[in-house]
Order: sequence, then structure tokens, then C-alpha cells
Amino acid sequence: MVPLSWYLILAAALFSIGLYGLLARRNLVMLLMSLELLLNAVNINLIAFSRYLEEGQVVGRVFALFVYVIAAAETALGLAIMIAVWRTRQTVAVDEIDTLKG
Amino acid sequence: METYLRYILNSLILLIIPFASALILIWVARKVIARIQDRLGPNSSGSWAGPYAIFQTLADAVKILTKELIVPEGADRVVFLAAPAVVVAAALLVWLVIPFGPTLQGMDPDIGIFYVVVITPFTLFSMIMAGWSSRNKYASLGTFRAVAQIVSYEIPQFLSLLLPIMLTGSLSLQRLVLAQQLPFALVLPIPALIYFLAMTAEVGRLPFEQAEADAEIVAGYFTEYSGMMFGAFYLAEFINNFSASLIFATLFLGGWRGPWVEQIPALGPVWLVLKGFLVFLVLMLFWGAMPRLRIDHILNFNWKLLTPLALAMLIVIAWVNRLAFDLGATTLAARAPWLLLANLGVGVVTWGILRHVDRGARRRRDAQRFEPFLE
Amino acid sequence: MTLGFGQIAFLVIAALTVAAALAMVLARHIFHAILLMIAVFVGVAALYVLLGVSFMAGMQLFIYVGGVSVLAVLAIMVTRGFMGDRPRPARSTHGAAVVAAGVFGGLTWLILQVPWPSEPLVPAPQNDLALLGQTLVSRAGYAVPFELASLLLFVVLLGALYIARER
Repeated sequence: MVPLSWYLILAAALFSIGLYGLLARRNLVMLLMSLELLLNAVNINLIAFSRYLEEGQVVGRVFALFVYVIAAAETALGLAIMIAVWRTRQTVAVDEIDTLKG
Repeated sequence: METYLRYILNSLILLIIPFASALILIWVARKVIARIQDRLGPNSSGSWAGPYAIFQTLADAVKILTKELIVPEGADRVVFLAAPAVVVAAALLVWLVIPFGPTLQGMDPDIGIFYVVVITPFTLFSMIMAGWSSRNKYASLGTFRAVAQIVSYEIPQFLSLLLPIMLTGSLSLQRLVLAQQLPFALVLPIPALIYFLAMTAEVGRLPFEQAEADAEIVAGYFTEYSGMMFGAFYLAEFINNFSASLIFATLFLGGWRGPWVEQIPALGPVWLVLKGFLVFLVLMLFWGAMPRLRIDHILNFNWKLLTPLALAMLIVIAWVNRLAFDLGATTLAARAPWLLLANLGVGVVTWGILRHVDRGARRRRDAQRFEPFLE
Repeated sequence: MTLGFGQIAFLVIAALTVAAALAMVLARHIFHAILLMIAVFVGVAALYVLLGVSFMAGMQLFIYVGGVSVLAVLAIMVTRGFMGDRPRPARSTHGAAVVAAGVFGGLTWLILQVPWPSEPLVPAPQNDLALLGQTLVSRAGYAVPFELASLLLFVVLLGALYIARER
């Protein structure tokens, strides 16, 4: 069978790739998608733990379901904000949206 | 050994049955549409194509295979070529879970009907890939509208699907058929109607045909496709139509159930295909007889009528079902009168609301029209 | 360690998923990035099926592929975010790469310190959808967070409609 550590290392890999995407890209949509990668990595962890370490209860999967809900909600809102920003500023590059900079 | 037989059976199901049925159904569709439009359709006067031109589709397939595959110069090559493959794959994958008989099913996952619901976005994505990579104004327009329509109608489809699941207690398609001592369409007519309309919109059949509005936007999202790539989209559309009809027959019409099925299990597929064919025929009748609705009418219909109705049905049926259960009616046949009454109640209330809204709108419209004359 | 079928399947799916994720964060054109993100989601769903939790795989596909990805595609269609075509200013991404590699290294070292079990406690669940449903909506379970989640979705719906409306 597949050892649990393999799943955890895979989740760690996805997490760091998402982190790189979050730090290195300029486009707002890319940032939101890297956030989705991070949340996916967290879900893999939760579900792997729930399968391997839980007996008779499914709390890990319930937690993962809530993470899904929050991820979908946050992506929707983030994209709505991005559309609003696009309408006023005509750009979606994060380093060009700096009107509040002191 | 048994699992290998299973794999071989599944591969056969995936490879042969959908394509064979699509070939037959395209011929049926052309004949039916032609008769509705008071003409003959493909027939064998002239060159020979079999009695009643049953080999016409084969001839068309050969013709389309010999056409040149053109990739427009500004198009995104990889995505452009991948879109037809994705749409055919999505159309074929649904066939694995359709229960053709008591033991004749490709696979029966725990999440049976959920699997079917999940395959729909892949068709959607092939549309997006096709429309986007063509870099064509008409293709983009077609993509926008088709995406809006499909995404919107997923909701009433899913909501009305929850009702048979609730009455069965399981997501598995085989259990759904086994639980239908009475076909669910008799017990839940309004959800069946909602699901039928949502399904018509999802597969893109008139009156909801935004994906390929012939007279409006050239050919919608597959404007730039030629040869077998176009053939793939066309084929996938027909395969989708038939599998959606089969799913409707499984959910609401009783699936492989029918007279004498217990004695002769081989009759199961016959009954299912017959029922699916009936639903397909109704879809063809829609195609021949109805005009195309405008996109804002389509979206209004969904968000203002179908989704609230589906939500109301869900609440009312859940409540009535539990009530009937607690009052002692445990079998489906015993609960049927309660559920029918609930359906009737919601239907009457909806009709009343629609009449009220229509009366108000008509009064306002008449006031506008007659205003210049009231001086 | 003998490589059984489950392990080979895991390695193949994991390799494809990580490759798709890498290609996604390095993609030039944002539409390709979205398609690769869908590939990552499908890979993760395949992993869930391998773990035996097919319902979570279905939810993953439904919510992410059917919802979030479509949202992202519509958003870039509306904003015409062909950001990959604009010349980007000389901006070094080495710092980000170092941070990411460091995080990965640290996490892997931490993971390998703990003796995790290599077999799941319970064999592939028969029909635990009922258990999941009961845990989610029963009073002794998580009914209150469930209602709060629906409230959250409602608020987000209203907020997104308001923020993105046509002026």
C-alpha cells in the first residue's frame, strides 16, 4: 500500500509550488489560482490523514468539505474584485495597483 | 479473471455502443425532422444508400473523414486540436455508469448519479477551449452564451435530481432503478419536467440551442473546425443527447424495468433503450417544431422560474415525504398519493403566481401602448 | 520496497500532478495556466479515488473544475488578461524560488521525522456516505458550521454581485 508519508510529501510539493506562484506572478488571476493550489494541498493532507488515522469517524473529510466551500467562495469574491479593479484601472497586474502606496 | 472480463466489457461499452447508436440515431433524427417539416429526408431515389437510406450516415462519416483538417493560423494549436478529443471523451464516459440491466452495467460507483453530473463540466471545457483557441469573434460570442446557458441550467438539473435520490436513499444508479416500483415520473411529475427542460438546455437542443445557433452566429464555438474535428463535435453532441435521454429514462421512467424482466433478464436493455429512444424522440420533436429562444429569455427562464421552482419542490417534497413516512406509509406506492398531491399543490401555486405576474405585466404594457390615446 | 499496482498508480498520478502544477506557475499565457490548473485538479481527484474516497473526488471535480475554473475563464475573458503578452519588467523571481524550495525542504524533513503508518487503518470504506452526511448535519456533528457555511456562501453571493455589477 502507499505509505502516508508519500501523500504528505506530495501535498508539501504542491504547497511550495503554489507558494512560488503566489510570490512570483504579477497577474491577479494567477495569484488566485496559486491560492487554489495551496488549498488543494491542504485538502490532500486532510483527506489522507482522515483515511489513514481515523477509525469510525470522518471528521477530516468534513473539514475538507468546509475548505472546499471557503475556497470556492474566496475565489468568487476575488474574481469579482478583480473585475471591478479592471473596470477602473484597466490592469490586473498587482504591482501596478498601488494607489494606496505612501 | 473476472475483473479482466469486466474491463473488456467496459471497453466494448465505451467503444462500440455509443458510436453505433449515434450512427443509427443521426439517421432517425434526419428522418423525423424531415417528416415534421413535410419533406422526405434522406432517401434512396438517385444514388443508392440502402433502403430508406439507412447507410446515409455511414456515407457522411466517410465523406467527413476525407476532408482536410484546417487549423487557422492565429489559433492556439495545441488547445485547438485537443478540444474535439475532450468533448468525445466526456460524451463517452457517461455510458460507463448507465445500468442496462440488473447486472449489466459498466461500473457502479458509490457516487453513481454524481459522476454523471460531474462529467458535464468537461463538455463545457471543450467548448471553452474550442471557442477561445479559434481567436474568432463569432466563436467567442458563441462560447460566452453557451457557457452561460450550460452553467445556469446545471442548477435546476442538480436540484431536481436530488428528489429521486432522496426517495431512493442512495446515489447509485442501480439502486435508483431497483427503488422504482413506480416510475418516478408518476410520483414526481414536476421535478421530472424540470429535469427534462434543464437536460434539454444542457445538451443544447432547441429551444435552448445557444451553442450552435445556425442563423445567428455562424456555427458558434466550432466555427473554425473542419473535417473530422467538426465531425467529432457533431458526433459527441448526438452521443450526449442519447446518453442524456438514457439517464432521464433511468432516473424517472424506471430504467430497465418493464414487464417480464424478472423472467428474462436480457429484456432489461431492450426496455431501457426503448424508453431512452422515446425521450430522444421527444427531443427530436422539440428540434423540429420549436423556434430558438433568445439568450436573455433562456437565462430569465432559468433563474426566475426553474431554479425557484426546483428549490420549492425540494423543500416541499422533503417535508411531505417525511410526513408520509412518519404516518406509516413506508412503501413508495403508499407514499405516491401524498407526493402527487404535493406536486399538484406546488403546481397550482406556481400557476397562480405566473398568472398574477402576467396580469400585472400585461396591464403595464397596455397602459404604455394606449397612453398617447388617453390625451 | 516492492512496487505494487497501487504504488505505481500513485507515482504516475503524483508525477503528472506535480508536473502540471509546475507548468502552471511557469506558464506564459494565462489560458494555458488555467487548463493546467484543471489538469492538477483532475490529478488530485484521481488521488482521492485511489484513496477510496470517491465522493470527495466527485466534489473536487464538481466544485473546482465545474465552478472555480469556469469562473476563472470567464474572468479572464472579461478582463482580456493576456498578461503573458505584455513585456514584463525585469523582476527577479529567484527570491520566490528560494523561499518555495526552502519551505518544501523543511516540510519534507519534518514529515520524514515522524513514523507514519503505511497502511490505512480501515480498509476501503463500503458506504460511508451516510456517515459523512450524518456527521455533517447532525446536532452532535457539525450542523452549526454547516449553517454558517451556507450563510457565508450567501454573503459572498451578494457581495460578488454587488462588487462586479455594471455601473
